[in-house]
Amino acid sequence: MAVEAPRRAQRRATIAYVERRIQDARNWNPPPPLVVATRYVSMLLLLVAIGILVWGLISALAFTSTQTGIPCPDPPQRVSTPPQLVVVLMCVVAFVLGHMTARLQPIDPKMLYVPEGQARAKAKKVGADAGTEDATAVAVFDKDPDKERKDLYHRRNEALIVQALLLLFLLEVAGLLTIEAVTLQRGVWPITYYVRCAYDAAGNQSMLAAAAILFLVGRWFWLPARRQNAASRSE
Amino acid sequence: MPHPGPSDALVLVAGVGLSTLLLLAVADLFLTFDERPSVGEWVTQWARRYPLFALALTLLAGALVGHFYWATAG
Repeated sequence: MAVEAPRRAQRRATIAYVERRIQDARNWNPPPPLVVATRYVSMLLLLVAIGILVWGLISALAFTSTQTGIPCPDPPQRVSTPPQLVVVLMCVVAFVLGHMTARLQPIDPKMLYVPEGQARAKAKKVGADAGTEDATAVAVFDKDPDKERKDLYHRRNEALIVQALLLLFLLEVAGLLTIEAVTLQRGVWPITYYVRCAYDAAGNQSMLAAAAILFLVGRWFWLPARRQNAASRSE
Repeated sequence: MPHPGPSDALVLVAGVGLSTLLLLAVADLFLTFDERPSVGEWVTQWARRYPLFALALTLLAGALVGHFYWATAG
């Protein structure tokens, strides 16, 4: 027992150290040149991802419009070139790259807060909470009533677009699930088989397309932490 | 044993799915170029506003990606 106590203390100290390092990494503010460079890298990688997706789309459409058969054995093989592990690694790298490009970009302070009412209430309650994102956002809103109205109008419009896109995404997900279920029930190839067929017939191109999709997913869906002093755009 | 479906259906599914991604990617490129809040920032804000809804959607999206892309060699 006497030996266990120092070990526990050492373990706690190690965990605390790791937590501190993680917190430091989350609150790390990239230098301005890196932020500017990230914006250009983001645009470049987005162009590459768009190019890969267009290439994949054109290839798929061209094949189906000119050929009657399928480009792989029936059922498609699950072992092809490059090996699955390489594909998975490539996708993980693309996912992390997508997140990093989004994370290092400057963040609009208005996007860091939650609903106006909540933010105002919180800022009033906390009072001297200057320096936090919520207080910054409220300060922006409280500066000028006209600007506040204009901001609100623009933000409502933009929020409407985002919600419409989310609705589109949900409808597509529902459609894909329906297609998958119906095709399986009717003895027709499900979407999974087509993905395997693409990997079997054009492994490298499929890997690049999967990596491009994962890059976009990493950019959009891996939430950046609320950094204490996040780099922000100028007004 | 399942057999391949009609190519028209395949074109429709691939076209709609990839076109949506392309539309969002082009929007993201434009917003980044214009230094406006990117798609990720909007999604982040929405997720913070509706965390449970976002969690459910994330699980659904993850399950779909895993189902379509993860073909464990047997």
